[in-house]
Amino acid sequence: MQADPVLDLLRETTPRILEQVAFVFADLTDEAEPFTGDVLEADIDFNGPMVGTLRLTTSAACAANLAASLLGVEADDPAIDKYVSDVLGETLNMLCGAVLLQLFGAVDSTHSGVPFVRARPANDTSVPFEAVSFVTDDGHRIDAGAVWRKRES
Amino acid sequence: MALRVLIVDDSSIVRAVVKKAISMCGVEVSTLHEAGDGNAALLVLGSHAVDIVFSDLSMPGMDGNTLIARMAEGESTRHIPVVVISAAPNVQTHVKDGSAAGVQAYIRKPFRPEDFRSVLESVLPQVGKVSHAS
Repeated sequence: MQADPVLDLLRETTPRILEQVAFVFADLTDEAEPFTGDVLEADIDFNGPMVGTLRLTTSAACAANLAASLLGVEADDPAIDKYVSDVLGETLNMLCGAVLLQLFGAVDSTHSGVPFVRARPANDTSVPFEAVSFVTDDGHRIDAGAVWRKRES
Repeated sequence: MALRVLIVDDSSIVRAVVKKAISMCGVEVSTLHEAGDGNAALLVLGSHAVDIVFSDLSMPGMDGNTLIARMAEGESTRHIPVVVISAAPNVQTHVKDGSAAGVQAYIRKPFRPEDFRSVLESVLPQVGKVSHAS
């Protein structure tokens, strides 16, 4: 099977960004448990020498932990409720910037869009994205995926 | 003299974290305004005195580059230093292109609170404010 350069970068960059953004530590896994409960999915489009979309998927509980860690409050603090979907989009935004920088360097022709976050059913298996899975040190699953193609000249 | 700050980012959690990072620098802030895009930022700038703007680039509605250009056209806003905060891989190019329009520095996301300290130390003398950062 041919290596996917974007997935390869997601594999190595996602844990680094999670650690930098929210001090959350995550390990790559080939045996991720199915999502349970409310699941959030964030997409961000990018274009440059490649055109595509990156996707970050996790449980709402994991997103709440990310927000709490980023803000320095407890995960059950009601103040974080309004940030739960926002934090996933912003984490993906930073992940996208880091991936594009490694793929293409700081070139002017590279752009990314605004992240879009939505809820999806936990048992939704129709997602066509190739993804890599991680498990955080508190047991939450996070998937990072991508669809892309080379820009036609 | 205390600083009057405007934070422009469509992400509410980034605005909250930027606010926290500025406070951790020990800089005295008298007023702190927030805006979710360039249009909202221009409304704030039209009705309040602001010493420094921290702005994202990629936002729905009016983006950061347009905001910076509009600020450069305004008599009362062209002198206000702008610090760009962005995850864009080419953020330094935006700063170079925007330097004539008031862009003084950039902070790449994800950032650390210390990044704000060094940027504020370089930018504050230009707005005539005394930094209390140590």
